[in-house]
Amino acid sequence: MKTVEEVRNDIPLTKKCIYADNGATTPVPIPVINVMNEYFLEYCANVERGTYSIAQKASEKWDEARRNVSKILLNCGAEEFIFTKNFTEAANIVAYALEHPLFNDGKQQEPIIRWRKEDKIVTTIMEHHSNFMMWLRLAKHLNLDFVVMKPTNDCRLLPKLFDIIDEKTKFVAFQHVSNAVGTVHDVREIIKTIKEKNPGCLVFVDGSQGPGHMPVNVKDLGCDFYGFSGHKGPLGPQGTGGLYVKKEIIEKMEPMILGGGIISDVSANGYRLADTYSKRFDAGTPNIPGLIGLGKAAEYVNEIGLGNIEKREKKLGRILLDGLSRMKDVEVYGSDDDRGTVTFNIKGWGSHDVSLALDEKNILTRAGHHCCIPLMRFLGIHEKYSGNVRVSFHYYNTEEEVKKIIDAIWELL
Amino acid sequence: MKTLSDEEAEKFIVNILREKSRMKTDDVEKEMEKLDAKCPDESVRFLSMLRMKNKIKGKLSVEDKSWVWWI
Repeated sequence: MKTVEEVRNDIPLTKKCIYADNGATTPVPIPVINVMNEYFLEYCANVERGTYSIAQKASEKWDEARRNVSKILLNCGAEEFIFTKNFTEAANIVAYALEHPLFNDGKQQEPIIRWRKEDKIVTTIMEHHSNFMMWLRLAKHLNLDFVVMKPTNDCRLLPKLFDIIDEKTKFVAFQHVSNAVGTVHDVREIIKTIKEKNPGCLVFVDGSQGPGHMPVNVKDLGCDFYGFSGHKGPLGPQGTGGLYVKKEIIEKMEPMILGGGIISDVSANGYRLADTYSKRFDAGTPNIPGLIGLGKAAEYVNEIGLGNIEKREKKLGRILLDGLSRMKDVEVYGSDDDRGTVTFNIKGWGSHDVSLALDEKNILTRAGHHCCIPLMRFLGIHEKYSGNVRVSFHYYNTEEEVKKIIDAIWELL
Repeated sequence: MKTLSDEEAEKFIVNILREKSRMKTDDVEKEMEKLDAKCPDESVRFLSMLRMKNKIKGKLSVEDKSWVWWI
């Protein structure tokens, strides 16, 4: 297990400021930067193409990264795991495949879902735009019903709310953790409810704020798809991410992007895609250094211990929640559950003014709608405060930093 | 509502601050809204960026519960 001090030593930025915007992106530890440097300096070659030694090394490292990321962060096999540039791309890959049946061996294959009139796509008002817009568009393109569920007033997606799922509901997309209020949902129980109502309904989970912040086991959750970004919880570089797809579905998925590196044969009449399903989504030269970096990042958070990260983030969040609860002019959003992301507003202040005020104290937070405008409107804070102020922790934040954040907020009251 | 270009927003803000001398973030936004316009970014971020470029001055005012801006 790595200590907090060891991790802080690996991330120089933590010594220069109080970095509390981990919900947006995270600084990258030196060991992760080192493996990317090593790629550039020692074996900077394309993957899956060259026969020379450094090209083979690049391919081996890339495959190793896929194995590490899928196993450590999601507990799935590499054959069920697609590399992406972020969560947004993961969601768009799925949306595309749900609209376009697989074209392979010169003919169109069976679609993943055979959509019928009055079928439903269900999502929630809590979703990030990146887990909302593509489903709305898909529903409009296919003339389906688009159902947007509301959470409880304290922003929980309780399993019983999913009792609305029926035989017409073919697809549900919802988040693991809210980026805008911090709620950690009981994904396993929600999916259990959905599948009891309709075993054929496919479930997509937005894990943008999950892996790297906590242990995630997609098999145990029971989801069909689970996407995430590498540059948030996992401490990987920007431009990396991943998508788990259940084996029987990935076999039927049409790639969103076609090109080199994903085929076994091409002729004037058609083409045959690679037999390794997960590699059908790697058209063109991928972000090789970034994804090798993500592989190292997965090892790095595993060395800290994903359970340790979760426990620590919750502890820091609890200190902040308790501190804010003593401030009468502060509104806190979401439930009172322990969590690593806390959002609030100060009465009379705009959220961005508060965030800029905290920046004066070298405290880096995020303000605004957090790409969740429907939720901000639901909470009545879109116009009133222009969103909210978000403090989002990672393992390397300290109790002392949380106390400084609380003191800085007191000074604004 | 029209989103102003960087140049348009900067010109508007500099002119209005010359005229009004000292304004809260919210007041700048309201002046823009009169023209059915808004900053290219969140107002505070845009104003803060102008401050970093030394085009305007700004400071935190706890009394006003806002940042205040002037030339």
